[in-house]
Amino acid sequence: MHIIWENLTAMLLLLGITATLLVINANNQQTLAESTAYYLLRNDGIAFMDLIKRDLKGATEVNSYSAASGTFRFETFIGNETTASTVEYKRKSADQVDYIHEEGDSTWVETVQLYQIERYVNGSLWGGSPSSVADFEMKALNEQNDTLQGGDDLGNCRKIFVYFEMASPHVDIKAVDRMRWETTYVPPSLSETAIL
Amino acid sequence: MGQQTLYAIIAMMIMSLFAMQQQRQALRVQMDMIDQEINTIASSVATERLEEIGSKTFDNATTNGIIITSSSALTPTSEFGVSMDADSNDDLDDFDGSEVTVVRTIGGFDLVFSTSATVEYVTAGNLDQVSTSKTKYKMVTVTVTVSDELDESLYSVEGLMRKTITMSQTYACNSACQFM
Repeated sequence: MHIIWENLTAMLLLLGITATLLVINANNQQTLAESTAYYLLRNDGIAFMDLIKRDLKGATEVNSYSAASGTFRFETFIGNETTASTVEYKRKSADQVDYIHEEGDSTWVETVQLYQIERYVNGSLWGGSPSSVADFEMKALNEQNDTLQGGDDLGNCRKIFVYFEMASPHVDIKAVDRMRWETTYVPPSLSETAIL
Repeated sequence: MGQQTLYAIIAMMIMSLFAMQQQRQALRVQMDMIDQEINTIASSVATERLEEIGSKTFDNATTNGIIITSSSALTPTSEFGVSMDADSNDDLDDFDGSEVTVVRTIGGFDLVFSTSATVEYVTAGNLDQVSTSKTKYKMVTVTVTVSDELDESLYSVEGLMRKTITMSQTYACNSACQFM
């Protein structure tokens, strides 16, 4: 009886430890994948934000934009260039991703449409964002932060609102699934136009 | 209970402690990610504030394109602040001491950021060094703090710290200041 009891305990112990190790291993892999995906996502987001910031720094005029189609076209001096270039951002559909969310005992799937933001300089494709943009919006604002609808109104543009979300390529997310950036830029040349 | 059973129970207890430690580590990594995300949003708030302030004229004396030929025309540090001149918020130093609250809604949470700004003259030779005299350079420093109004449940989790972001930008008077 004593030997049977000892063997049974040893078997239960082995099963318990094996199960625990498997769970720990799975959790570690999940956490590692999630954190790696997030830091890659953050790097991509910051690089895209820098690109927009550099383009907008020398902006002199907004030509047109459409929130519905995700386009924004403006004139700008890029870097130290002495002639203005026409820069256009265009939203282009990419993949759809199903994110698995867990809260308590319930699990649900969120389908997110992803986009790539293409950047055209004087009509030629020249960079842009990775294909992981979940939301993108640029708006022309006047001095009072009112949204301008387009057309002649754009002559009153003094500020440019930028919002984008980049979604993690890792679908089983427990902590942070998006990198978000929201800033209203005030290009000096747009304000100078108002003074002149 | 035999000696082997006792060893088995001890082994299980050690294993449980190890598993708990691993779970805490995973939680800390997740908290770090949330922390980073809040930092990113705070940086966007600070950038926006610097953009807003930086779009103003260098000094009240240089508004409307006026060119000054002596530093004595510039606003002294003692008169920096929002209520010091009639046209408030039309030049950089009007924002010294200004405080603005910004709300960003992220994933159902209202993140409330408190921003404050300081403006100081800095020396031409070292743009990080604050100057007590008037110069052609002003440094604007924006501090962004996640407000106490933030949903406390987010901060009830161990490891998530309240963050303060500080960003500075130096602005030059350029051609409006024609003096050495």
